[in-house]
Amino acid sequence: MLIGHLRATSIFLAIMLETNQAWAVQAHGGSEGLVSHQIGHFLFITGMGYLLFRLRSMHQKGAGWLEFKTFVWLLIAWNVMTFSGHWMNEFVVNEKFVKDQARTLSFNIENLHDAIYYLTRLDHLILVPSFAFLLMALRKWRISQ
Amino acid sequence: MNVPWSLVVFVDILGSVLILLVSCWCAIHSWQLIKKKPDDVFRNYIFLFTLAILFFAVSRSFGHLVKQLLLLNDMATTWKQIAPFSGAINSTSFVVVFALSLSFGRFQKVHSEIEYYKDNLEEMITERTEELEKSKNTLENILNNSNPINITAINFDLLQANQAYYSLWPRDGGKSEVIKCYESRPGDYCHTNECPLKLIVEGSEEVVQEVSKNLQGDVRDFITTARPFRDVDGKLIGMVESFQDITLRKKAERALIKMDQMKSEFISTAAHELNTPLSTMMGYTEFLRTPDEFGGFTDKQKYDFLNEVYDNGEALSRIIVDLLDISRIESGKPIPMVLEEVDFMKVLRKKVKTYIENNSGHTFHLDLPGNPVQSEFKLDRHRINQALENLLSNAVKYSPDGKQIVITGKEDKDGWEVRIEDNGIGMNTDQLNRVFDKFYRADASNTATQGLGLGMSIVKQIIEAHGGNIRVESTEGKGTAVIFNLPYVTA
Repeated sequence: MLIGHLRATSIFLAIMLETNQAWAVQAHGGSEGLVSHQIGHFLFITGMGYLLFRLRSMHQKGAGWLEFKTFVWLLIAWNVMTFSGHWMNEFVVNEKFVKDQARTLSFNIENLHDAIYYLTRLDHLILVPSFAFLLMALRKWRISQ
Repeated sequence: MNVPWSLVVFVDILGSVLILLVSCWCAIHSWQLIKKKPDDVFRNYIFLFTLAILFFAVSRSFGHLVKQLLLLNDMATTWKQIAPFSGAINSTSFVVVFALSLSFGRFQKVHSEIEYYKDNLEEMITERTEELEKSKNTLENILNNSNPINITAINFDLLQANQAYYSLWPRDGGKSEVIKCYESRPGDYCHTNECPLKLIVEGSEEVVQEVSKNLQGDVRDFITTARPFRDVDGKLIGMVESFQDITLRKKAERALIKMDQMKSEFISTAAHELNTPLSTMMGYTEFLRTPDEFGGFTDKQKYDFLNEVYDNGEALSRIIVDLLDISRIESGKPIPMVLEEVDFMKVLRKKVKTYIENNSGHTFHLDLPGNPVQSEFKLDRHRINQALENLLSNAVKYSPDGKQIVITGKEDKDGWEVRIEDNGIGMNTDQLNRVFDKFYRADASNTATQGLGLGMSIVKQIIEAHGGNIRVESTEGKGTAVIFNLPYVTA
């Protein structure tokens, strides 16, 4: 069982470390390291998951809590999205990006993988609403309490 | 299919700007939220959480804006240099959010507890106060109903004591007045090396002493146990002393010692009492067995000797009967009584007559009613004779020759009262108080009057067995009067 785990971990690390340096789009390479950033995302998801679990077990109700829960759910979704985006980034070849000298003009979608990757680059479409829900929750708390 | 990358850039830039704005707005809201109730734990948590989210939003948005600006200006190399720092800050914000998320439960729990305590504080205080009051009352009850206890400070100040203590040694001054232990309960050990407090200060862990205290004229015996009294840091600040009243035990011990002495005296007396008639009997028997050795005896002399043997045998028999009676009384059995119609005046007259005839040394005066209404009633003839015999013999024994013994009998509607009065040596108060005690002899010295000290005790039992009562009046040096009543018992 332990050997199985070690093997899986080795494969994961090999994929992670075998990176295609697409610096035009990649934010978390270099000395920071993708693995450490992905661990950060994983912790973020875990933290949000725990928060949701606590909110459910405490049966937290009242003004603002629904908005806060939505905020947490959206943050989890955003984390999953960006986690996937960072990972997929490693496999996206430079040829997919149509460039004018150093500037990227377009992205060539040839399959589902490319399409998903493109969508993950639009992560703000989730993150902004998520923050909006946090704002709503805080407003409601401020008014009601 | 080629999709424009500019959309990604546009969404990235606009999203980052919006995130910056909204997160700042969130921070303002959370600040306003905390300002309403700064001591609210949960609001503090929300504020911290929002700050963490702000940290995440700012680090990410700045990173993305910088990235897009650099890339738009063909500065990919610069971004390559900056990217790790931006990413690292962003990753750090993730960890901060993670840590704060994990502490949500704890904050919420503390918040709930505080809210609960706030809402129920008054009730909880009331409940706790009641519990404490109850507990205090119980402790006080236990303390006040236990042996006398006091706490004495090292400087001999009486710090505290229970009710039992104050009931023995009342406070002269008010409650607030501090007095010294030796003022409160002066004793033999005060100001000596045996002072329990001194011994405790010198290192003793327990000082047990037996003391006698005079409490308003009443001498009481105590076992005192003193132990160190320390403060919370273990520093000796005085002693706790408890008093166990052993007065009754000591009394019992003293009575036991007295009983032991009386037993020894009784054995000695009984041996002497049995030996005297026995020796006399043996002497006369020896005369009769070998008359030739003594030059022979006349028939009259022999008859007198036999009478002497008989009389002494009778005396021995009386002693043994007394002992048997006492033995019965001791074992809780009643004296066996055979009641029959008896003319009491006749019995009394006959008994006195016997004494008049046999005791030439004393004069007897018998005063009886000339024409009694009721002289015959139910009595145990033998026992009444035994009682009269004991009383008359005592009157003879304890009054010098020549003195008069007055026997007065009178009747009333309930029965007869008899008074036997001598003009003898009399008794002091102590002797009078113990006159009916078994084995008690007023004078137990070797030169004292003969007797086992059982007579009066048996007389009392006989009179009481007839439903009567008996009392003794005596003045030392003047004489003694025994008065008893016998109620009419009819068939």
